[in-house]
Amino acid sequence: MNPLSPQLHIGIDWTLLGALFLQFAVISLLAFGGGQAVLPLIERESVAGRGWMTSAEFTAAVGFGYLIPGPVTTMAAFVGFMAAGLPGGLAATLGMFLAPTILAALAAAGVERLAKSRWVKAFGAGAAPAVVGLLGATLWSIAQKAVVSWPLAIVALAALLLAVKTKVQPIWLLLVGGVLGWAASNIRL
Amino acid sequence: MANLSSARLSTQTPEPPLSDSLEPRFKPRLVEMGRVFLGIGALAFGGQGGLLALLSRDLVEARGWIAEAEIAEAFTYVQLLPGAVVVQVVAYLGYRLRGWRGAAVATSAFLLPSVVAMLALAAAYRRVVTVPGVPAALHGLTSAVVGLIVLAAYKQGRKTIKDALGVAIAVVVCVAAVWRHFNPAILVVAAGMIGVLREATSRRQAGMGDPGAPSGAATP
Repeated sequence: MNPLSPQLHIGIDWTLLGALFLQFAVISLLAFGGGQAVLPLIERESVAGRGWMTSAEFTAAVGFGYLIPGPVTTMAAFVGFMAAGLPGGLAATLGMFLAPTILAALAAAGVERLAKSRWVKAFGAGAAPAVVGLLGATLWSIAQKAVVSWPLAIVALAALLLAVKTKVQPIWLLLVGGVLGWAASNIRL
Repeated sequence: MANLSSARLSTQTPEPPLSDSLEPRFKPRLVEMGRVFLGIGALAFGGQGGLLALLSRDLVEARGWIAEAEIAEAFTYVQLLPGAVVVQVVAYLGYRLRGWRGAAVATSAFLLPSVVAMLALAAAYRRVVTVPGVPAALHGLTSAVVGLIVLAAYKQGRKTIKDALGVAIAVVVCVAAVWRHFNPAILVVAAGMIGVLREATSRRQAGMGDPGAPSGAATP
């Protein structure tokens, strides 16, 4: 969308870095109910809103977020990198984690009133079901792009059943899912 | 008399607060903290449960830096704040260990392995995705993620949806986001405001038990 983008690495685009930082800072403050709650927000802003990445890239980034250690929201680094290279990745990461870190430290500093405040609680209680609804929306969006054949539907179902019934680490489900996805594409029935 | 009571107060204060026992505690060096949280960050698979196990092994059992109860406390408080819970638990404990610098060191060290991995994946992505077989493997991986998100949504729903209003909010938000492509940020804030409104009205209703309430109910 930006005709000058091939020249990006000549100088640092501070406006873009600022936009990345701010966007993820706002998103981080809406993450009531944990990190994965804001996946739809990230998708909306970085794919359709700003054109920082394609929707296939978003789906892959979510997969990577679950695959590697740490919270799924480290995918902010992926989005930032796609938008503006390494500086972009760092700006987005900082935006995603700065405000929640400060809030958590304030809570530890004894400002429990902040967390215990009736109004913060009431806001969280209202926002949390919305977050469940948004998870449903994420699910719909990712499933459309990921589950493109019936063997993959079986992979999704098997992952769900194994996650419910066993204590197997999610990372193994994802890795086996990847292998099965590759295998399924090589077998033509 | 005044001296006596203040002396008694001061002897009483140290014992009850489990959480406020900040003073007589071993303070790890920041470098040491960075090393430990880096290791935790590299192994923190499996969300909150995985982190809990690592924290209690590396901070409580192996080093005695904090008490098990503080970890539980961190999870409880942080849950109420916006942000990724695992990162905030680390920030909370980092602050408890060494103040603001501790929070900064613990959080950065904890995030470093996963952010580096994510940046490496992003840098490789556009080249690797053209390799035959890679998109198919990614489809398989994300299909498994779909299964995991179903479970996450179910668990989150069980935990946070407590009444009909909650069900209504979840359904309306889901439909609005999927079908009408509403901005999710606006939906979350609107739902939060509904929570605040409900709190405000329930307070006023609680006040209606008072004798003065009927006059307030009869709106002019």
